[in-house]
Amino acid sequence: MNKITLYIKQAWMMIRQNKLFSSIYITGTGLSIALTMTLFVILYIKFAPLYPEYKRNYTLIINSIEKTEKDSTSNNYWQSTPNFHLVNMIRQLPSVDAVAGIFMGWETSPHKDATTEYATIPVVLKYTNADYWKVYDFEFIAGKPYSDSDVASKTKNVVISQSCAKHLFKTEDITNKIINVSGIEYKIIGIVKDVASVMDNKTAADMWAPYTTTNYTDIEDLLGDCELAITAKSPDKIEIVKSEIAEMMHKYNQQDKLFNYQLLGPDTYWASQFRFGKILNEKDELLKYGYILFALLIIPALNLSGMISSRMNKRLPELGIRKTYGATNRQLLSQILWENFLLTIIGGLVGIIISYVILLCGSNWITNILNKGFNESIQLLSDNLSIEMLFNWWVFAAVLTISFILNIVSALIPASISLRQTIINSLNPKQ
Amino acid sequence: MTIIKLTGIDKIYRTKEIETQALENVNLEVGKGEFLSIMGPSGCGKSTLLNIIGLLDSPTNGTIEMNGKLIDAKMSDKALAKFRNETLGFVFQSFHLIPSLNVIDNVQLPLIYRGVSHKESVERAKAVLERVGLSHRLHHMPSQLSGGQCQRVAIARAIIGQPEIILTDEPTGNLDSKMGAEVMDILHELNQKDGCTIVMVTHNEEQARQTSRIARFFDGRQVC
Repeated sequence: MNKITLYIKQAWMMIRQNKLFSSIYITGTGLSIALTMTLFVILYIKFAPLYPEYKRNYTLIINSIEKTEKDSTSNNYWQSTPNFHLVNMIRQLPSVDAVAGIFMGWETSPHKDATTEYATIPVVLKYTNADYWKVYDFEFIAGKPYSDSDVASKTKNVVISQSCAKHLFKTEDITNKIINVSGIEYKIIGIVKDVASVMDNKTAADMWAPYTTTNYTDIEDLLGDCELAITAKSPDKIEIVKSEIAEMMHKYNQQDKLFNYQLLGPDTYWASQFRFGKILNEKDELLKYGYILFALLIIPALNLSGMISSRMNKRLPELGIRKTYGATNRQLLSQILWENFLLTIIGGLVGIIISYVILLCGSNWITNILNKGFNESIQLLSDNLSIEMLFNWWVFAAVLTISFILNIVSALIPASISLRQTIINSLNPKQ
Repeated sequence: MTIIKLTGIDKIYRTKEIETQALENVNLEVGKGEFLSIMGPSGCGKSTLLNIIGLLDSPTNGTIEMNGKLIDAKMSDKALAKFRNETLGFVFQSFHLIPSLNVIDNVQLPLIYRGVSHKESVERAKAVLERVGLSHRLHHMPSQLSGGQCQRVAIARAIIGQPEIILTDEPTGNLDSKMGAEVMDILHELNQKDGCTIVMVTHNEEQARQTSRIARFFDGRQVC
């Protein structure tokens, strides 16, 4: 049995001997870690590559475009989402792999009614181009996505989610069946695995159809009703794509005699989450998360530090005995941190359980936090968070790191102060 | 052969208001294999002297030599810890066992800090516990033992590292006479059979008379 095993054995014994202290400490640590974990899981869902947005790390987003008159005396100014004309222009750039165009016009909101011989239910329908299926990695359970020619020919094909299929047909064997969506008949050509409602509003939906099947009309202008998600041919070409887009816009502006167009982007997926209109301030937004994390950690750390300080006073004779028999201050500090780490890890496990309860019970408000602009009633989208969102190494590594930081912050100072006592004072603390 | 040599030891405790001289110009030599008793009234500096010999406290003035080695006041925490671990064993009046460790783990403590393997330290702990008559209490917690048993565990812990010097501060002070006699028997055996040098602080005149020499103190000074 090495020293660390003995420390842990002793720590376990102390947990059993000091049930009140241990349970308060573990609960305090657990609650702190639970809140931090919840924050981490929310951030993980917000930023990590998750189904079907596995390419988030090399996706560029353009949600807005500005138009101003070249006439310097004019103050006319327009800001809007771009249109599919811009989508098709960007698709031609050499380093671009695919450009998803998602129609965001009024027709997508509120929900539509989907009717079959079995049921009529409200659904969220997204209108997109064919590249949408290249940018996002949907898992097809049956059938296939619609193609460029389907989009060009305005063919009324639709892809629906697994839950939607079950609700509407009570079966998944429904390819080539017809469905009526708010008065328009679509042919079902594919079924995809459900997307959780906490995902980005570009992917969370019940049905997907070619944007040309709606009342969309393409115009020569670049302003319209569409948002863009662009993937580069390889992750290292993101910056090249950005410069190709900038050059393309420069040429476009040179050719246009009346107007200047300026894209609000392209932003990396990460940066796009921090854009509010023209303002893109990642640092300030990240600082906000930093402050929250700091508050979640420092307040319990101070409380725990006070508790440990009180316990260290009780343990002074033990420290004195250990020093008497040859322990150095460094060895004792290491021991205290190891013992405390065991308590913190148990607190961490409790925290994980509490955070899962918070996350599973509160998935509705998490949906609201993550999809602020997506308030339509999503009847069929699964609110449940998926396993890949909750159980992943990043989140567990974060918990371990937080436990470690809490341990160091809460135990280091009280332990160092106690170890400064002479052996005699430690052995006889009342003297 | 001298194993402990104290020369001109002073110990002064200072606070903002007062200065207390606990030891004044103490010169003491202890021979190898000797069993020395230190006696005197309460507050005369006996325990302070024992703490200085045990390197648990440092003198204000004077020098300490042990085993021919001068103990420098500037020795590092690590060097002092190593010296205590290898050369000294301690038995206190109030046992000072670690309450969260069982008997065998308490006894192994010096060997853990010496880096001895687990297997060897367990074997040696069992052997010393058998010697003090506690081989049937290996996994008991200190709270489950009587005072006499606790002191025997403390003695086992003191001797497991085979130190040359055992320092003991009123080892029978918290025990009844029968248990006290048992503990004294063990200490005498360690002195006579193993050749351990023992320095014992005691108030018990009868126990002191059984040792090889008595050093008496009064008001911080050695009087005989």
